[in-house]
Amino acid sequence: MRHRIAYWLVAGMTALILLGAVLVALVQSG
Amino acid sequence: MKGRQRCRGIIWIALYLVLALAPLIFMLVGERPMGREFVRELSVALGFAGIGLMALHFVMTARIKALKAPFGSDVVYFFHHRMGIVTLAFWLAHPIILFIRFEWSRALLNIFTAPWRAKFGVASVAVILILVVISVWRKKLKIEYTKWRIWHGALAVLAMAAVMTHAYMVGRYVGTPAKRAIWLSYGTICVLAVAYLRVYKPWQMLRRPFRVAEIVPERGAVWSLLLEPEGHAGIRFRAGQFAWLTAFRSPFSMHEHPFSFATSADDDSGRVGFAIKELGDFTRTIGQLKPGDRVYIDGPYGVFCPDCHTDVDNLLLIAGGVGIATMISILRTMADRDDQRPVTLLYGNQDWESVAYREELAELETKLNLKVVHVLERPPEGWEGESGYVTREVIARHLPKERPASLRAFVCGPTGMLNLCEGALRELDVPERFIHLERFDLA
Repeated sequence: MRHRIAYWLVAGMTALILLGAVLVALVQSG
Repeated sequence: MKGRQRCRGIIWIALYLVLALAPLIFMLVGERPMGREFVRELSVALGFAGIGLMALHFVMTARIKALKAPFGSDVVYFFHHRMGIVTLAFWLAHPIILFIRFEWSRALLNIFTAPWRAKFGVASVAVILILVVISVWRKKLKIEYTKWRIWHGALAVLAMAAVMTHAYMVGRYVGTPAKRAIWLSYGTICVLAVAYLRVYKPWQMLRRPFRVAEIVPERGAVWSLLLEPEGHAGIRFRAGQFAWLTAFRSPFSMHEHPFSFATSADDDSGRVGFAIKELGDFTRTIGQLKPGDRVYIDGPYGVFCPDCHTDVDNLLLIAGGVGIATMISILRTMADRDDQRPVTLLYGNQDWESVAYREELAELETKLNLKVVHVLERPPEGWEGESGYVTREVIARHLPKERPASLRAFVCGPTGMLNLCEGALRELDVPERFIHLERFDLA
């Protein structure tokens, strides 16, 4: 159970950080 | 997970997310350099995010009890391993995007002609690549655990130092003093985490040493190691938890190994014991310890304990081999408390002669409301008990029928067995949240 939650956390955090990086790049490239 | 621990867990996860995303936010806050094309900015953003993630690995592995308590050490290391791969992917994405999109950038790979800022960047990626390769394939590469741990720590520090230098020398997005200070704080987090783990904790262990009281060989190449505190009250733990043990060396030597407590958690004498099986380079030498030898302990850690959970009225314990260490601690504690909750122990071993603590388990059956089921891979002639592995069928035959709603399963053993038992228990309608697993392999 705890490991399954950890899997989702890894996937969720990775997706969020990737999205953040794309958004920052979009803002910066104007 | 109890309510308070759940709240703490959510706070830690939120804090992790904030610190992981903060480098990206810093890029947009305050004075910003002129924008460049999307791909180039994306490459930089991924690089910065990667640095933030790397700093967080130092915190995750610093053995901070408050951080580990809501999740359990095995889950924190599990998360560290997976996020390590993600971190590597971010670190690799930064240069690979540049190399693909900008031909000029490929010249930066030439270590003879490239400027120093690029040399540090290339070095940091090379180091983290080596770090991940030796970690993922440690066993295949036949790297001894203790040596690997030293290299793992050293390479992580080296990679972080190189990448921070790279970011500072490039100077983009770290141009203002405020931004430099923020980035410096990420470096400081790493330094503090290393200092906590490698200086403060060993110093604490040095102040509270233990002495070997007894070292007794058991069946199945297991040693019972009993330690007594030297000049202090000892440590309190919950049955099922584990500690990091340093023997033969100074606590500053980075030669510590994790072992489950095997004695009763209610032993007021301050003595603590471990059941250690001869499996690796260190454990094969454990029998060389003599009464009076000094040993250091860092712990307790872990949430694999009935006392860490509420409403545990009916216990199913499943142990494979030396996984019995945890279970014997739980049972000894129950015996000390005259705890008469029903317990079923499924105990898998290779053969009858390798069943550690079998006489004591038989004795505990008379004292507790305990049923012990031995499962032998190679049973002796005339064996009428369970044979083979702890499979779904074996579990189904012995799954306690009384009070099924309050049944809690605790499984400790090799990874293959854990996966098999977890699947079997779920098929047998044991709710996933009531299945607790303890993985030996933290590395």
